Amino acid sequence: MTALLELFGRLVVGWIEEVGRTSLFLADTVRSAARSLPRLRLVFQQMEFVGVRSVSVVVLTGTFTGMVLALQSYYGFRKFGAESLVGTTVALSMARELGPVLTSLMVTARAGSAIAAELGTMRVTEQIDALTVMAVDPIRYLVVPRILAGLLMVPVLCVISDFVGVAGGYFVGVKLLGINSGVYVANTIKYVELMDVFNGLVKAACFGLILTAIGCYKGFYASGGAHGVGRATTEAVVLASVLILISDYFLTAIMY
Amino acid sequence: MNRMTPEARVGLLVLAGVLLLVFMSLKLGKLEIGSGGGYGVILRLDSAVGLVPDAEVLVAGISVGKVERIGLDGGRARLALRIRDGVELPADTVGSLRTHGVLGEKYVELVPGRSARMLADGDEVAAGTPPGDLDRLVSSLTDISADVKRITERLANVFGTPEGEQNLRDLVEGLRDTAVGLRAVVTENRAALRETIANLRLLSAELGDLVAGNRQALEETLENTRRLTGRLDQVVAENRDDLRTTMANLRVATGQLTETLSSVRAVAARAEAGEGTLGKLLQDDGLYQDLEGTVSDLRSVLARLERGEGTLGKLMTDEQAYDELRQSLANLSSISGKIDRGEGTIGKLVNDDSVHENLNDTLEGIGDFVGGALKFRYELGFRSEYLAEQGDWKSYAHLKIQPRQDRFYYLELVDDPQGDTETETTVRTITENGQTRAITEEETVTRDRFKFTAMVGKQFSNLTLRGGMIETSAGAAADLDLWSDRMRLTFEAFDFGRDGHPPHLKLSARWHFLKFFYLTGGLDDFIDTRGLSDYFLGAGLRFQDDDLKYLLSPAVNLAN
Repeated sequence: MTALLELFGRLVVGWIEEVGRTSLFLADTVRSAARSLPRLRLVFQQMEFVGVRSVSVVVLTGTFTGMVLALQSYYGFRKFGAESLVGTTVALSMARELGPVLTSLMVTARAGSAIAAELGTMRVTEQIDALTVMAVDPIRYLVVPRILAGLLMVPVLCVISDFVGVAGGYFVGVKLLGINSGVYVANTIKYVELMDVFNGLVKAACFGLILTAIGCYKGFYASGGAHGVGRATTEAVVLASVLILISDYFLTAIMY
Repeated sequence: MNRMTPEARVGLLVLAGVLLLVFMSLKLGKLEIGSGGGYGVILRLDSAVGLVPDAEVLVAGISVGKVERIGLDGGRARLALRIRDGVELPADTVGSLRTHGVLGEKYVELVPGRSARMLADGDEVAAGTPPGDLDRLVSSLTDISADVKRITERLANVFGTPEGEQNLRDLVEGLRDTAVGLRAVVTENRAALRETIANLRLLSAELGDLVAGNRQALEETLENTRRLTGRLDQVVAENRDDLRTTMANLRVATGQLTETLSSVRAVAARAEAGEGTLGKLLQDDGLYQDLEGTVSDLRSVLARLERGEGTLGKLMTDEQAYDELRQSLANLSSISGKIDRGEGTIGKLVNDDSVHENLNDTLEGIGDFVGGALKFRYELGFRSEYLAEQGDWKSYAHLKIQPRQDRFYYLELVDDPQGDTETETTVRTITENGQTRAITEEETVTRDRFKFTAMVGKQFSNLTLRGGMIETSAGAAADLDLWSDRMRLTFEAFDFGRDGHPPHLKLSARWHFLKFFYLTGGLDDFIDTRGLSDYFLGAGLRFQDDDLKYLLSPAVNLAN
């Protein structure tokens, strides 16, 4: 009985410790970024890695998401003769939800995991300790550029995803399913407002912050050799994805 | 191209993202019609069920604006519609609530009327007939089908039963029998019938002959008889009352006569005896003489009257006075007659409806005029500009009257320190040592003075053209409104006749960052060759419309 209580208590304490360490890590990062900006060269390198290298995967997921959305909503709407609203549905879903969420999930899988693995490897091979010894602030040198890159690049990727999603929906709706193109475009423009797109971009920036911060944190505090690096990578991807979906609900509740 | 730097790749990606975002903004942003534009009208409906704000307003299927607000006003729906500028609707336009298709969204339809007057900002649109509501349609269809069902049920009761069917068959058979019988009768008696008819015709012909032969005599006899009875009837009717009265009077008279005769007899007896006054009168001589004298005096007075002596006499005998009196009465009568017949001014006033109608029209006209004046928009403003080079202030006070959305009159009073700049040439003659020389002196004079601006302006969307008099000289100007009327760029050209110098050109910008207050700045007279070019900064106030309307309304109320 006591053993069970002890186990439970240790779990809770461990969890609380984790939250505290994450918060301290973020506070360090903010303090470091505020004190002096990191080297631009490093930021651009990370932006290229997080942003540019993710374009192909984001375009692919965006296009096919838009296409399948058009297809699915077409079969639903056809039952009561509202095919003309397919464009509205696709554009609204892409701008408000699927664009930001799918983009950041793809970036998590591609870049978040890589960040955790890279920093984890640096940690277990004591490169980070070496940096500290050389009086280079590892947070300023390694973490801040990555988080800045996530914050700035994920919204850009989200815009691209929105656009290719709507384009894919148009292709399926108008070219394959034969909805009148004028009606399709008119309804899309009529019911989607600019605020929908902007709110989606704010979400994307939040998700970019979450996924890079989690990746950095998990890598930065990895321990236990190659096995520890692998675990850190997995944990980073799972935690970031879950946090993205949970925060998505609250962000949506606040925004609309 | 070898290898792109990370910066270049990131730059390309960000550029692509920004371009896509701008593209989407332009596409989606086009929707947002600025609420500042257009003009508002009010529509009151019994029900606005299903209508949402920003719903479309259509005229003949074309979108002309949107529903701005939906509110409740004394149990009815009050819709504030915003109609785009440039869409002119007659004042007798009616509006109603309609639906796209059966399940579609609601919109407001306006049906333009034929009035020459156009709707202005704040006017009210009449509610049209409510369209066929689906619920109402269904309920009336239910009623109709119930009625139809009842009728068919009754019919089924009458004809549907075997008994009813038998009845029907009997009826038809009976009809057929009757027809057959009738035909048989006619066939059997055809000859007799024909004979009877021929006899009848003969008889009537003879009677006709008889009457025709003696028509004259018959007619006369009848006429005489009628006249005689008529007269008799008339005589009796006319004299019936007289006759009756006469008989009654006669009866009374005979009664009184009897009484009188008896009294006379008694009096005569007493007089003869010399009793009482009458008796004494009859016996006394003196009294008789007095009586005779009085009678003769009376006769002489009458004679004088007859000759027209004295006032009374004159009155009685003067023909002229009598004539005048009669004339006056006749005139009076003719005047009242004329009035009665509607002749002359008063007569027309009294009798002619058109005067009353004219008066009504005139009053309505005055009402319209005053109402129209109330609908005008007014703007009153003041601004000061500091001319930097010259180091002096130039002030303006203006009144803008806007009878219609797109047209206005602009009056301005300008206090210009630079005022009138002109070259005065003075020729003086000087006599020196016996020689006379003419000296020509040129002087550039600048006078501070008031100037006037009076212009007519017309607005085309966000471009306004003005023309007329600018600062007491012919001029024209153009304004361009940007940022939903918060920024205004103005170009003015005036004072063309500045002997040899180019016209006065002025370029300015104005920023309305508050409702009443704005900042201004620009270049003044920038192509001048005499060094009068300047730049300026300034600020101004302006009051529009409602604030002023309430100021003016007491005067309007008095006029009403």
